[in-house]
Amino acid sequence: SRPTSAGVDSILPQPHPLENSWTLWFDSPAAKGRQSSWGVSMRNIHTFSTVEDFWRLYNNINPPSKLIIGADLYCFKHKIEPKWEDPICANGGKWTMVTNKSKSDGFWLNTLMAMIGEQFDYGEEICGAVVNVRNKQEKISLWTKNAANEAVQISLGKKWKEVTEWKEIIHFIVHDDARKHDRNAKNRYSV
Amino acid sequence: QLGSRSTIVTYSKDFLMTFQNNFTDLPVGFVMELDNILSTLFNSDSRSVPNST
Repeated sequence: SRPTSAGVDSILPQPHPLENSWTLWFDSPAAKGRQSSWGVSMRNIHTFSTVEDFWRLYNNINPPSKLIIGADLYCFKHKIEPKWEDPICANGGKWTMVTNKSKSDGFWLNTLMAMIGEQFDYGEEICGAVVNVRNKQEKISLWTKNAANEAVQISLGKKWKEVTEWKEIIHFIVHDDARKHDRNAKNRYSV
Repeated sequence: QLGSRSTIVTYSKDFLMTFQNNFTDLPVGFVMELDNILSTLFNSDSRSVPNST
């Protein structure tokens, strides 16, 4: 006989909840080309809240090395939009690591696992992460909330290098500096 | 594996990795049209996503 719904519930393993819910966003050159202002073409793909649903999503999408050039893939805490204008991001900044072409997959996955697994001492200060796929390189950035808090940023940067096994120096740029000076924005911190 | 930083639920990388091969179907209830933009995001083995029309 078929098990009752109560019986099924009793034998199915319970999902593993994450501390935070996370949303995957995607932007591609095909979408950007039709939009006039930055960020308008970003697509909210899915929000996940368990370890199991993280893998269900991750296993069905391409890693950065297989995304088309110009694509941006974001994983941000639920209800934080990956934009400078988001009130939670507005006073923040980002740590960035730049990899050679098609070398970012492992760093990206390790970044995601450290975020959703809450491996950072100041995880509450993290907004999310983004990988930008470009012609000759891929760039991964870790967005944080309060750029002025140097001790927290340094802690986050050091831990990020540790969990990704990144060996080179990384730099932190304040969003407000980037807004004002674009590519000429100076690094605020380095680890 | 499952730990707690004060009251925070934490998972190590090793623990998370043990789940990777067991969850290959898209999340329950996931419905999204696979248009020309999203088809570049989802891999060709992706399950449960409607084909592009």
